[in-house]
Amino acid sequence: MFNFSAHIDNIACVTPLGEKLTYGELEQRSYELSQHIRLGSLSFILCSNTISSLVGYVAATKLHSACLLLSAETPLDSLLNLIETYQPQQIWLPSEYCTRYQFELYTRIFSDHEYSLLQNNNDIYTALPKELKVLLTTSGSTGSPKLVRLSETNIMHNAASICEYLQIDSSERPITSLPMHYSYGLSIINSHLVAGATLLLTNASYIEKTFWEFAANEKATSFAGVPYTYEILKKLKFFHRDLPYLKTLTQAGGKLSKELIEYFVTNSIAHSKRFIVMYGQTEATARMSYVPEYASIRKVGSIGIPIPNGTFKIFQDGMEVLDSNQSGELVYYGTNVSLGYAECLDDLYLGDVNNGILYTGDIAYKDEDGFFYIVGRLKRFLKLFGNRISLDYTESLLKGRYNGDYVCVGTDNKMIIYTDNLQPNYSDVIKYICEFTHIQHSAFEIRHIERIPRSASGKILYHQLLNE
Amino acid sequence: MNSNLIKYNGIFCDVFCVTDPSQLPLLQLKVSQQWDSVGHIGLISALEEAFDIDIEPDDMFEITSYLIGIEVLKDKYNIDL
Repeated sequence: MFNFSAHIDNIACVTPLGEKLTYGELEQRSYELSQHIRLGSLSFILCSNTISSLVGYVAATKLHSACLLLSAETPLDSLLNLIETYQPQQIWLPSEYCTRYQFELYTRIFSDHEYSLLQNNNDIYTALPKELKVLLTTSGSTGSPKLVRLSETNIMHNAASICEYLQIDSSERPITSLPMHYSYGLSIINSHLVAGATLLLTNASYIEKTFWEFAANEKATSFAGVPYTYEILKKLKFFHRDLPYLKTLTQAGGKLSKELIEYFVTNSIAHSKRFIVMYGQTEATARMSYVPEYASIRKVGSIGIPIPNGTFKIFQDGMEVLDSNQSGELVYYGTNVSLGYAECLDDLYLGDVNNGILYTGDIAYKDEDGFFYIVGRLKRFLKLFGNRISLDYTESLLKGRYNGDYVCVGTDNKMIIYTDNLQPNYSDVIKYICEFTHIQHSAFEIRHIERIPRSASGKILYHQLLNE
Repeated sequence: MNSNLIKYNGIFCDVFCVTDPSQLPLLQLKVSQQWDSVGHIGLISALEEAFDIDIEPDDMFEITSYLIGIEVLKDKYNIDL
């Protein structure tokens, strides 16, 4: 998928251990690995922000083959569940992971720099469609292995648009502050590989000193975060840090409060940096819109304008809304709109079912200057710490496990769970939710209610429940 | 156990969903479940509120385990633990 020939001598990535790889070396290492990948087959990659993980990604997208990107910390039962559903021919994972667990139907055939390649003992599979390249989990969804199917065109076109609106060139040095298996994190890797830039790869978190030492020593030029990342950055007094080379801060993955946007925009200007608010979904590969630097103060709270080669339209009751300040469902058009979803192996062969059109599920309006603002959602889900969590799914899980009725509402800050069960073991319920969502318990609150409000026909009246 | 230590333990139990206090000395950033970046800031905020202090960013990086946290609060913020 990637063509590095224009910048083979550039440094593709560096790590805190001082490891460096040129694009030529990245090409060579990924070529060696790709020799072990069966043509037209699916690979799983257990991602981390390491050279080996990057090599695996480049290798698995090199030839006619596709890969599912997962966290290297995927719990074993979830991984086995996905293996059973999608029957990958290869799994590229940290060697430590495959030493710890047995994968009965697989044989380890290759190892390199603390990663190993497992290959399926059964080599009977139907070749995947050529256009299919990358599968990503819908962010934060747990339990159901619902995947987004991305094509080479999706990834390359989105990367090109991102390079254009952020003016990314080979001099850039982004530090990896997000996981590689997360669409936003992957989009940073893709756009900078296309530009021949240098990735600063680290698994350290921005709450660790080593992260900032690495950023300073290696002259990081950009940093990316989701809303809570910026809450933390403010607490860490980010602008007191001496990071003269760090010029760009990007934010996506949910709505940041107006106060924080203002704080980061004004402080960025004062420190000759730029703070760019963006909007996207995994279903659109990653990005759909951004707030250009020139408008960052005037358009606080906006998701901005569509990225190059993208278009937004607003629809209400099946009719396009042309007037400004009228809200309706936000629909995106562009070549970065994914092929569709997959929930089982057969779905991988479906081809393009979206045809470049994405119904975002967000309610939005456009102002007189063509800037878009999101005001609500059609579907019932929350984005807790950047993870998309379905309220209906959470309800069904709780009802299936505990006595009584459970109803979930909330804001992106907190999910409120109402129950008519007088004596549920609250801490047990919360612990269970934390386990299946992998989210901090502070994002959940349980409240007792006498009776769940319902309409005559039995529909839950969500608006009667306080959502904060 | 002095009242500050009771408070300190309570915060850790609360933030990281620990029910057995004997497990507290094992808690470590990035190692223990729940002690990720979000949990870390939750912990720092709770400590600041409970002890009425402003923890400096460098000390936020320093507090990487239950035990080191005690030392940092003792040495840098004069809290009797």
